[in-house]
Amino acid sequence: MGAKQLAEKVESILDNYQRDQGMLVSILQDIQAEYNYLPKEALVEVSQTLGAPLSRVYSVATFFKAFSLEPRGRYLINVCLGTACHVRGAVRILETIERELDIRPGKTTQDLKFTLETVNCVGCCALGPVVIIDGEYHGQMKTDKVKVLLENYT
Amino acid sequence: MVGKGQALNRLSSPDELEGIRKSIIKQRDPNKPCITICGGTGCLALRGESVIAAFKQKIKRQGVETKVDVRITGCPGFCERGPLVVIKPQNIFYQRIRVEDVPEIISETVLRDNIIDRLLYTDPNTGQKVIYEHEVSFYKKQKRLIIGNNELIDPTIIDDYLAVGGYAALSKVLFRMSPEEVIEEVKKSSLRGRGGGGFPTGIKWETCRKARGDIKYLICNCDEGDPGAFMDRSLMEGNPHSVLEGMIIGAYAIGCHEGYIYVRNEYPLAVKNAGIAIRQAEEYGLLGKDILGSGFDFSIRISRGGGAFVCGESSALMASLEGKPGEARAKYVHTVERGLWDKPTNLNNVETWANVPLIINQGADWYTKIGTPNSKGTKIFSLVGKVNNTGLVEVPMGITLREVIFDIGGGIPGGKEFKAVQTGGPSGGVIPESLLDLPVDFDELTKAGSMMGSGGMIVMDENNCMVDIAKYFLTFLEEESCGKCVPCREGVKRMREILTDITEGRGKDGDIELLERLSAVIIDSSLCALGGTAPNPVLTTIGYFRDEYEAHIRDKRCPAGVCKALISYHIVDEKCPGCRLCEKACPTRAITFVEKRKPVILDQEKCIKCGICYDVCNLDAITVK
Amino acid sequence: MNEITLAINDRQVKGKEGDTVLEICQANGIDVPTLCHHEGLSDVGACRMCVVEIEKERSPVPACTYLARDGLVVKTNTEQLERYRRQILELIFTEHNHFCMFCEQSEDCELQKLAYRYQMDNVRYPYTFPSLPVDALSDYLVIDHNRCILCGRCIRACSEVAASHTLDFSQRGWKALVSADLEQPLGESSCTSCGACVQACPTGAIFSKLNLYKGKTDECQQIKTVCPACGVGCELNVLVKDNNLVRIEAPSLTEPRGPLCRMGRFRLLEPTPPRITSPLVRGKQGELEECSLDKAVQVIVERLAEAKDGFAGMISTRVPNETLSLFNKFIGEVVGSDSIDTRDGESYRIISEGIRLFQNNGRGLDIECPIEDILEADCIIVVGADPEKTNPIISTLVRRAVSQRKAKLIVIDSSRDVFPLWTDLWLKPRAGSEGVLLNGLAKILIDKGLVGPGKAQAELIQSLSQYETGEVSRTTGIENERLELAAEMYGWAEHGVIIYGEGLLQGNDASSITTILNLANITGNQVEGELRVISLKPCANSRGAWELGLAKGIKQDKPKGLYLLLADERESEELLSWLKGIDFLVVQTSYYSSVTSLANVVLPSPIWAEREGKYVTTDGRVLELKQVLQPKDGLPQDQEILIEISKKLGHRLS
Repeated sequence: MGAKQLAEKVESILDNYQRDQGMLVSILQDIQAEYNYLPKEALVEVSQTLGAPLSRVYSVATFFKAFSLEPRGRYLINVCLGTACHVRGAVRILETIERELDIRPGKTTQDLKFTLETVNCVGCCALGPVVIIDGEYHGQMKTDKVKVLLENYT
Repeated sequence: MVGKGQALNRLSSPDELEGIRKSIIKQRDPNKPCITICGGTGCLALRGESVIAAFKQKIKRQGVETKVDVRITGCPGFCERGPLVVIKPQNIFYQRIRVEDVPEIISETVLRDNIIDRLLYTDPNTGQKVIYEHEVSFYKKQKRLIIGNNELIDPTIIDDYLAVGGYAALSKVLFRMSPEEVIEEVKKSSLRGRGGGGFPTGIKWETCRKARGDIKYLICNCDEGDPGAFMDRSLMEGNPHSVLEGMIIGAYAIGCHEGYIYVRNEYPLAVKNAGIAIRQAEEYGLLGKDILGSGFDFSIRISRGGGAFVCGESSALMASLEGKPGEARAKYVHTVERGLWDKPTNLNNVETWANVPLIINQGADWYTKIGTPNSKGTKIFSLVGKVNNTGLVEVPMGITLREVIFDIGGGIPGGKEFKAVQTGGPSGGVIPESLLDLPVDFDELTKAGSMMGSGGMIVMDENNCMVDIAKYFLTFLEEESCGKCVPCREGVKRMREILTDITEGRGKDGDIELLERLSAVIIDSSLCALGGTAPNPVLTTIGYFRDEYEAHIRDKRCPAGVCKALISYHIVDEKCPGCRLCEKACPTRAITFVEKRKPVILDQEKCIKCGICYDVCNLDAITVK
Repeated sequence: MNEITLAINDRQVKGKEGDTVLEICQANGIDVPTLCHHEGLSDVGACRMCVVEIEKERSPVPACTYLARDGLVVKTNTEQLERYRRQILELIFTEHNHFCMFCEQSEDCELQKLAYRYQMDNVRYPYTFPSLPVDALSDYLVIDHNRCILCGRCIRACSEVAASHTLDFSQRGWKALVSADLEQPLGESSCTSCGACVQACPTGAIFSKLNLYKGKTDECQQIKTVCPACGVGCELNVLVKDNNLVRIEAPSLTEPRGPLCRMGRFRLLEPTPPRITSPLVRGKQGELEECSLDKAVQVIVERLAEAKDGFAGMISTRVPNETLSLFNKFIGEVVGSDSIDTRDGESYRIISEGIRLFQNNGRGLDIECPIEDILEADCIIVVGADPEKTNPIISTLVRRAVSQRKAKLIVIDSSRDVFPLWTDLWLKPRAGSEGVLLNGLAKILIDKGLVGPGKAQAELIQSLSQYETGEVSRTTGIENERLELAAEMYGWAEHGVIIYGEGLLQGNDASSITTILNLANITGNQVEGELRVISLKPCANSRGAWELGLAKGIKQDKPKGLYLLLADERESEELLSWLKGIDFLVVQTSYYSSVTSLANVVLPSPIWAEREGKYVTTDGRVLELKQVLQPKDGLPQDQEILIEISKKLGHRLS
């Protein structure tokens, strides 16, 4: 990724928001959607263009759970740990995925295939436990279905 | 039909609005068969997308496009049974539809009026099949004033909303009411904020209107961070225009010209549909400059949250809207006087806004007939957890918990015992069996040590451990605390650590008292409501289920069989036929096959208590002790 | 402000509307414990130590953020509040690693004091012993996160006082850390080492390597004096123990000349070159040899008699007015030479010539505005100056105007943008074309009508006719649009301030200074005869020396003899090369240096902390430099030596 391309991309995202400091969270979200994480160079670019202190941009980038400062895997697995999912055994689903992939939440597999994260509720409470892989929802999960589910992603 | 992708004509008077409404309704034949398919996140998660595609494709292939309409609607609430399909005009209710069912539905039901028995809903209590939607027990006791329109409209088509009377309330206030009259009407309706605190909406608006400042902001909070609640998501996805209409009315009443919808990024469909709705409303001249030719301007921007529960707190949300970390600030000057960018700011949540057009259309007198003396109108709950009919339910205030859980929810699945219901999310608490006849309203729930919150209602059965639930919420809050004030940052962490110790067999005498002592300092001295209510899940579980805590602490036993460190899995020899399902599934090879028709053997040394064997066994041959 | 009355702990006390409950308590001697509150910083109500009970409030509220109202009934010391405070302290103590016996701040730590006050003989929660990083890579500062209580005082000091906003929280909840920029080591961040964070930190989490283990506050004598590092004239609170410097603090973080910078707070404490502790005279072998003052004076007197008319005097402008005056008399009356200059006399002659060319009305340096004007600015032009290097507080004030008042910032500099994170517009003229650029701006302002009524006189318009925008653009290498943008930013501003410095004071061209004054004048940036223009002068007492008339200039290219009173000013390359070839050189200085190795006679001189007298700041305020240390080894003051020499020559100086 060239520094110039990155700068141009970030500029164009900033322009979509009229370089409004108040839209920082949305701006970071768009950058993350582009690169699948927040490259540090992008944060510097955002800080300079918005005229917002770098430490503030970093503070926002690390405050919100949705942002990652590390490159993430090809597939993002989100295990919902909302209350409804919890009472239906979401923790056991999470543990099973952790064991299958041998990673902890927040981490990425060595082959950069999967990143495992947890989310506090995706509002599919009626279908719990829910696992979302790359935006695809898998409701009413069971521990014994985990392995097959993961094998679908290559 | 005017819809996606086409430019809409700008409306510049109430008459033009009524004119276009008439022409939309006229174009529509109420007797024409219409297949309505839920397009909400819940049904989509259950492969609803492919069902929708299949319907579209089959109809085209069979050449019946002119004979039948397809409408992708918002969420009707009965997520448990999704994907949901309702055939209109008869309102035949089909549930759990798979792609394979699609051709038959078209050929049999739509074209020949034949009911397909296997797709009908079976009442879990009576065992009877139900044909029509309104006869489904889940819907019977509900009063679907707010969410009811979800299933009548395609949220991406503004004309659908106009067809059900949309924006009539806006037209009414802009041309026939003064801002003061609007506020008076909302005050008279006794509408209370649906986001958690239950503050009277009309008074909030009035304070903001009277607050000094030329610029004022209006915010719709759709950062539904409460895990286990999704009514705001469903409304924003399923009927975004009703929220917009409420916001514009509020803006007119308060005197705001700029508004924000702060929506969780975890709700991609809500973000998308809100964006489409804003664009369409702008094109029609219902939003933006000179709304409906009234001279009133109001614009709305969408801001996406970054995943922080604390942003449900208004000052934290506003910090986030200013591009800062979502930290709460000391609020001794209220945000209605000094909020976003230090300007007077009125914030209400999605459901509150959606109530506004209803109040204006029907009048406060009509509205106040619903509910209890201090809580008027209806409330939407997400009824989830260990209950047969999970989904969104809208009920009049004052209904009892028992009615909600047993009549609407159909009781507890698998013949298990009801244990408790958790309301109010992490700020709320659990309510035991003995209080099931409690009428549901703001004050009664608070009296029971819980709260209304945004409307999560999580049902728990005998297999749920109350200490584990308390630990769950405190773990959640520990992670979500912004960390600004000491009692919340450290106190909540300490409480969670004590609870972890208890669930892992390290509990000791005095722990309960220490939890109570910490609770007092956290409740009394935290900076914002997140900390101020954080101990509720612990205090209510201690209050109603102290014996469970004591069993963990003294006997090192988890009565519900949940806390991993205190339980073990066992083979029920008389039930196990040695089918080897569990043996194959066990990740640590802790289960040994002996021979056919003989029970397997479980090695406790190797067992990591992952529970997979328990899940795969179809014969209840594995038990937890 | 209306007076209000409230009842605190059953006592009627008065305050002003707009005061917080804490402010009223403090003003009335009612002790309320605090941790995240710091005088001069905004209040956030984070630590909850100052919670008080207020009638009709559901739960206790922090006194620091609660605005007092008339008739409020407040309790600050109930049993329950004291219990809560102790519990909060317990939570803080078990959160990170607070081990007083290893901490330099022990005894000066607010957390420790509170623990003592609340008699914390034990804690009821297990210690968590987190493993937290320590950042010691910066020149002056150390951040030890183990001792951090996350009160955010350093962060507020960094953004509100230093306007640097290098520090902020990263992460959230108990995982939160104070981090610099992208969680970088301080030394690699945008930190300017001003040390406001050190002063704000209640514990030992941020401290300076230069203060380590030198003494506790209670053991020290505290003396207020003026900073000798530059001409801004900040007040210093110097802590001294056993005639040694322990620490330098800002008496107030909020005063514009208050917060201090790395030069005032830290550099003055850095190790110095070896001190000159005795007069030295070059011996027969060419080596400097220690001798008595009498002997040294004798040598000087002899040589003075030999070469009277070729003799010149030069003095550092770090010394106070009293020394300057005496030196002036010494050279003029005793030595009998009119060849006298200050080390920075060249700058003076350019500035004063620039002012004379602008308006020969005799206001001289008084035509410049006070530096406080920067804080009121809505547009600032920094030209040929690098305030962060020469006058860091000026740079702080600029950043404050930009961040807190949204002032526009234009930097004109041929080599670099001196405010990289803050500049709205950086004009990069070809080296040497700054004057053309400034004239070009003046012409655009007049052409666009962005000038005050009657301000642009025919003479000026005439003189600017050669600066057509196209021509200016060609000469400076800056596009027309950018020139026009700059002119508009400045022209539309209601309160535009121009700051210039050494970059314009080289090369003997005073016309740029005149143009700057013209710019301010035509745009109406003028109050009561003062133009909103600030020149950054090289030394702490440059202005004092110039106004006393010492910057006359050395008449000879190379004088035969030179009396150089260098005091504690450090040598420079340019000075050294000029000194070479002078037959007889007397240097009165504090330190051994390359300059002393050129000297025939070396005389001792006290350092800043050992002197006293008057300083005149860059904007003309007269301030008092106090003696904070006794001169080393009983060394004489500069004046005493001059008087001694004069005596020998039969003159009575006083």
